[in-house]
Amino acid sequence: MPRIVDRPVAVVTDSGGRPAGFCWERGKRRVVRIEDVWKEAGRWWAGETEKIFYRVEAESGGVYELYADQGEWYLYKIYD
Amino acid sequence: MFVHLHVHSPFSFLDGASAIEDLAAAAARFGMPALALTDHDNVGGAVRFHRACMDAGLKPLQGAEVTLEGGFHLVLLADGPEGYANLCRLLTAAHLDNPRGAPRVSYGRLEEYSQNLFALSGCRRGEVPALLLARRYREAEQAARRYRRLFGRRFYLELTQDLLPGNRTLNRLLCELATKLGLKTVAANNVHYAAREDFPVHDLLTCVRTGTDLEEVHPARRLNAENYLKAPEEMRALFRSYPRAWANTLELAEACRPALDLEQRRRPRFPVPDGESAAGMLRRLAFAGASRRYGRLSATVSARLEYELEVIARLGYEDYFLVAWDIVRHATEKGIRFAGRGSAADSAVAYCLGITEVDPVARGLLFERFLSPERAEPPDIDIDFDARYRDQVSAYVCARYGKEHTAWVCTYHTYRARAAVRDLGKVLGFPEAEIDCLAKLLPYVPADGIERALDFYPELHDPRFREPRYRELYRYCAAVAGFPRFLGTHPGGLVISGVPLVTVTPLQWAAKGVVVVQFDKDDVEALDLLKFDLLSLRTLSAVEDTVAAVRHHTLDFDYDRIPEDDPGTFAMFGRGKTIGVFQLESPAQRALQSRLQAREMEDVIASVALIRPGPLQGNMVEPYIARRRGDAPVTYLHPRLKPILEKTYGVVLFQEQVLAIATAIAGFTPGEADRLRRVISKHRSQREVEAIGEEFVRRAVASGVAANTAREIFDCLRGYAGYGFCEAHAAAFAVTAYRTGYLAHHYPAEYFAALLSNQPLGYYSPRTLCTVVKSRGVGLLPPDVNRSGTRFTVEAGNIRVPLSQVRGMSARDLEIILTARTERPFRSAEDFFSRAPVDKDVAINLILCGALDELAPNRRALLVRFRRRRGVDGGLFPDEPPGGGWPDFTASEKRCYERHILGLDVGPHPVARWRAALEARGYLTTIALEDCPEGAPVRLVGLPVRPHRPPTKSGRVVVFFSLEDEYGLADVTVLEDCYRAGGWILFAVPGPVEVRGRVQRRGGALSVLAEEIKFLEWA
Repeated sequence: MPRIVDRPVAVVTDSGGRPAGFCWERGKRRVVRIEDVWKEAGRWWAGETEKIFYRVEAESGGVYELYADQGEWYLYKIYD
Repeated sequence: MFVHLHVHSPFSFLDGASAIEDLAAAAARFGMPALALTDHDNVGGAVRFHRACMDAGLKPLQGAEVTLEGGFHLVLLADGPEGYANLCRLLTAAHLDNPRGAPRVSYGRLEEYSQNLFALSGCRRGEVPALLLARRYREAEQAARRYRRLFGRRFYLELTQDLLPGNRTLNRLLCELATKLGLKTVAANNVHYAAREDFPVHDLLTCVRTGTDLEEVHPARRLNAENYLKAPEEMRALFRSYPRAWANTLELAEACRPALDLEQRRRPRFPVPDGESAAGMLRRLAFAGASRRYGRLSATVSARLEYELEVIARLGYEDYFLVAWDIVRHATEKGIRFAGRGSAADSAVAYCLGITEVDPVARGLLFERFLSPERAEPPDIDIDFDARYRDQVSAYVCARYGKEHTAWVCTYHTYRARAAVRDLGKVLGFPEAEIDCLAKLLPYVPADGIERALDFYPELHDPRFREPRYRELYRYCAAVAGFPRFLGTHPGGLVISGVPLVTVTPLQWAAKGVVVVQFDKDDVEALDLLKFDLLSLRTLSAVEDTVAAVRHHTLDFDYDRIPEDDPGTFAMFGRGKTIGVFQLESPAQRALQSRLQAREMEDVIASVALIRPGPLQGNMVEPYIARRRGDAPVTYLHPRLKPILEKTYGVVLFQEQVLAIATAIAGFTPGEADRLRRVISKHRSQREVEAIGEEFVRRAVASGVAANTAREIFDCLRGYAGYGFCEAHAAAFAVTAYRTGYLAHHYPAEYFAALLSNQPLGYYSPRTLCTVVKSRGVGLLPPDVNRSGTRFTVEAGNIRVPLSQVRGMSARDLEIILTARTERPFRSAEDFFSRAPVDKDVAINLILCGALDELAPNRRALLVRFRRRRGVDGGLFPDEPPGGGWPDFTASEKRCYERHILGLDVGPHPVARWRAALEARGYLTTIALEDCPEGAPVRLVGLPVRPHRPPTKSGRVVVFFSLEDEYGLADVTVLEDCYRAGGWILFAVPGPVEVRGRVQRRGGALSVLAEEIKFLEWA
């Protein structure tokens, strides 16, 4: 079952601005594959800005959802 | 180069957020060579799209995103007219074979009509993508194989990269399938708006469509703002992994041949007898009709008919006239009253065929106003029918030309201010009461005119309406201005086509249960589909009812032989007592009648033409009246104008006169003259007006007119022609106006009973009509379960209110009462309740409005008895009062119930109950007002009737309304200062008002110039 986290995380990006690695639970996770990418407009009427979501597979085998919101990165979801 | 092949416009009904013109402009800006339009299940935007693309230098690709059985989507693009016809056939079957609002294309139909169509697998609601997303791979492959079998190489798998979850996987699967089955892929963006910034508008419209508000989640709402018309490079970047799909868009666009042919002739053919041509038959009928109309034919009449027939034949409209002739012939045979209207009355052929009743030769009317050899526009024959039988006439037409060739024209109801505020305000979470308040206060303005209205109209000066949240609402309203909201039926436009309609337009059900084309009247004209306006005119129904009632006592009464010089009728017009008279009843018309003192039919014709926004704004009324009354000399700028303007006292009043002047002064051909009329009347560009003005002056000088006189005449034409009215139309309406005036004067009970029976009709409410007829000495009798029927009837010179007027009365309830009554009259209230078991609420209303008074006069006691009998909750009267016996309602209570239940005042007018108090305080009645001199200060109290703000030349606000009391109506004028100081309440809150002002008398017309308007606080 996926677990919603939604907390800021440090992310290293590649030349295209896509996540290449991120820190989580005192460990560095290298992204080996971007499974999917999509955009969400969010609650535009409440002033929310558009977010880009990435579902990534880490080297450890875990699957994570990260999103970028105005330059800040967040870990949104972890797939157990 | 890239081409967008999957594009939605506002014709996708709340699923497209940019105007067609904006989409085309965006595509042209990106240098695209073509653009497709693929609205949901319709091609209603096709003509507009075709024109927008042509203007923008794009190739239009006509198509639609159809809904298949099972709810899957499929994008279809027409290859050439054959493909377009098949698309129309598919859409027609989808609509007509299914319940209204749920079109579905069956696979069987798809098989039948798949030729000359390109098919794209569609968005995520397409069958193949949907099955792939559901991981039903084998079924997806089977579906793709089926489409391949139907469309062959014309079937493409559509790849979309609009950044939704799963896009990558879906596109990969689609490509794998394409490789496996040997299919092509094509890139698309499922466009729903032109630019990214338009996404909020699309989201709001989606919420309107799904009945949700912004905070609610709904699968139909888009997750992001990616469905805009992206630039080719942006699309190339998104499809860098699929370059072939990107390139295939152009290949497909180039393969699509033009689909919509606006040059093709589609006019109907009239079934002429063997051996006779349409032209020959028309000639025969026209001359036969001429013999009936004129007796022996003069050279003038013959020459006129020959000329008209020659023009009709040259333009190819013989069949059109024959069709119109056949329609009125059928109506005449069936005894259905009708009257031709509009510019058709400029045609002697139409007159001789019996389509119109105005003799254009005698009136000197110009045929070119109706049909010009130099004008490409089709003629327009409009015919009014007795409203009750119009559908019989249209049924005849449909049977005569076949269902495949006839359908009603549709109308697109578009967003204006009120609807936009209601729809978008609800979605944005505004409280319902606030939105209702604002919507009711808003005048009839475009959805992008709310901010201007806010600044202009004082009733909108509530500071709340200027809060930022409202400003945001107005911005969104402006963004949807003019977008189609839903499709309706044109009030009278019936298309008759020479080719099967389904090859030109899809057909669908309208809410009225009739079949309509998917094009409005302008688009129908562009497609050369001839439209006949078969209009329902309730006035003609009222005329028929009146004639029938009059013949009860005057057997030989003949409406069509009413004398045209009846002094009583003209005297009534001269007093301004024209409420109820066709076309002459508005306050402005009544004031005009008082001043004009009409003496003959020509005055009535001028009246009909004078009270229009144009003449009022162009200050034509005053010079006309002054000259007509002899208060100002009748002069002409040039002697050649005299024969043209003599009948209107030197004033240019009719459009036909503009044509005649251009011919007489500048030697214009009739067609050139008509072009001049259209240039100056349709307010085209200043440059165009000046160019035709120079030509007019140059040619006038060449024909011997002094240059300064020629310029003066042109200035005069320019000033007036923009406001001119078609004389033929005015003359046609004037006949009915005069004759209904005759009925109102000589048979007020019968005529007003007929008006009340045929509501809604005319300018005033039934309540006001009742007040007026009472002022004419005709009593109003309450409804009575033993005497009232389904319509207003005349009893000994008074009008009996029918049972159908009772609120809530259904046809079934009415039938129960009338059937029971046929057996024997009701002898008591209990007898009524036992033999006529009508709906409980209807029974209560019958008691409360007095319909059972003759059987049981105490309404309250009867109400209590009825409730006990039916076991209904006692409500306000649960127990018998001490001492027994219920006192009846007070007179005031009875009047309140009657007004609420019947919508009119059977008893005294509401103002009458305050009359004693009003008199004590110095308030006048409307009847006492008639004795007041010019300038006298007056105070009146009454109910405001139809306040309105017509456009004025100065742009200043002038409000006109009538103040109704128990004696009749007084007309009140409110100037801008008074309107802004408090007069705006007329538009804000209903209820009686107090008017303080001064009497105005202008040549017999009486009105009050208001100085103060306020609520009647103690009422």
